[in-house]
Amino acid sequence: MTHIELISLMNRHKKVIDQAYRGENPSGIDIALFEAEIFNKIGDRVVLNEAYIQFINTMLKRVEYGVIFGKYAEELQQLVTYKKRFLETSDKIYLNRIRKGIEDVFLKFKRRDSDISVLISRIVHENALSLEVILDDAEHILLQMQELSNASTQTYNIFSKEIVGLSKEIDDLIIDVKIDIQRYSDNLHKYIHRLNGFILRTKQRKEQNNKIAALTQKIMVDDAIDLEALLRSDHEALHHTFGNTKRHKIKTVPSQRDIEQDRFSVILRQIFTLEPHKVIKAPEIIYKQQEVEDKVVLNYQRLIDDIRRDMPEDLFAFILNHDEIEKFDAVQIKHSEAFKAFLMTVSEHREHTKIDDRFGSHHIRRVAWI
Amino acid sequence: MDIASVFEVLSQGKIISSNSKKYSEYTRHLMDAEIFDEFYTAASTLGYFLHGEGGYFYLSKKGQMNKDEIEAYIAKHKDAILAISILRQLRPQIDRGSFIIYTDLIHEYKMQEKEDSSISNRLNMLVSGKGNVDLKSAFDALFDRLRKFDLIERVGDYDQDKYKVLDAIDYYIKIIELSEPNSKESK
Repeated sequence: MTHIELISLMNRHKKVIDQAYRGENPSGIDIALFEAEIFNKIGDRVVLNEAYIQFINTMLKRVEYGVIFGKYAEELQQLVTYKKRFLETSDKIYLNRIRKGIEDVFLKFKRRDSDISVLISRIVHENALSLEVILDDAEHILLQMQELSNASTQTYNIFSKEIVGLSKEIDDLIIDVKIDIQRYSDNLHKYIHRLNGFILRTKQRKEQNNKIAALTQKIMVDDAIDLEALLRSDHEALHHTFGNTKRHKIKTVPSQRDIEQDRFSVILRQIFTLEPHKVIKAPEIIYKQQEVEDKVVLNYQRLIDDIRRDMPEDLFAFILNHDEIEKFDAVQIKHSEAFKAFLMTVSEHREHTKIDDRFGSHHIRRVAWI
Repeated sequence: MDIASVFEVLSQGKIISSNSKKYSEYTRHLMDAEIFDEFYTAASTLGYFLHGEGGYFYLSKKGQMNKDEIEAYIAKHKDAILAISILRQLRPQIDRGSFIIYTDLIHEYKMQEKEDSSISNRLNMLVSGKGNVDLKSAFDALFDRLRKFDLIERVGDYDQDKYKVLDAIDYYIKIIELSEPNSKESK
């Protein structure tokens, strides 16, 4: 049989092989599988080839427990034997062997402690394997650890009762080692506790998954009567579906009865600490009342009429003393208004004015109206 | 943080989980027994019950729901259970606090789909209404639903791929266990 033929054969019978790998007893195994020695018959029993199991465990990175747990009984037995020999012969070589033996056992404990910690982390965080396989592994490890816990106690006892008292050096070593072994033993109990919890949870999950599968099957064929009955009957305890979904629009508003209660607004206020919106005040504009100003305006027409009628000798003096100029308060304004009027009169009515060489009052040339 | 803010979130129909980063401020607030009681009384006055056991918080309605509410309520619960069934089939160990990786799940789905067509039926049923869609879109829709059901939450802003399973998954698992009290040992 070629490699590719073997793979094809296994592919054709994968269900049966998988069942056997998971520890079930498959029936109706094809004769070709026996010929290829994937299955072996031991009496009435049918078992999967051990080499195949090893290969798959390696490929799936399933744990090699044997490597981690190991055997202690032989080594402890050896220590007891060395002790016996030493007592018989007093040969120091046995003391050295005992010391070496104690160190070996200690180092094994030490390495095993960290290995088990890693192993448990690995199995607890395993994602790729099915729950059945994980459970199987975990239960197996748990069993090993319980044995190991007994072995620790045994080692502790042998060290403290059998080996002690041979030499000071060994006694000191035993005291050091015992402290650590005690610690590893405590750790072991923690690991067992953790693994126990994990196995329990995994079993629960497995059970849950079966329930989920059963229920979804019912939902898919629209036959989830129990679920619907449960939801309907217990809806006051179950999550209320607020808001909108695509198919259903729901508005959740207080009932009319609630709104009509006089106290409703009071209730709302009690429930929600509403931050009142701050009203932004418009700045107040203060309009000042305009004071009516009496504007004093010179009536030039009246002035020129009076000039024409009176025909003054000294035009500036006449204008300055005229009523129209008298209207202004300050002397300075009177002068400037009078001068403006004087200039206007002279420039506009040049033909009626005779400009004298002499200066009149206020150091302005005498101008006479003619 | 005040009651009004919490009510605003819960009244959108959310279940907020203690292990949610997004709502951590809200759940921390509600974990104070006094505040919880105060909110319980307030919600009760408005016609709701506040629930807060098992690490998640939600509101339920006092008294009868109307027809539309009942329909939406049952439809949502069924959809959430379908979504969880897909998750648990792809990752049998998934539980509150687990992390799931989008691309890993798609990969696993492709492996399982060949063996078990029921998973693709479920996925199609869940994302129906989206027409005949490719796997990526279907998974986008699935994750979208899971997010809306408050069952998962993206981890980090930049890692698009990794999600945390929230405590609220226990709410649905509790219902499943109540609904299927005597499930058979094996499928």
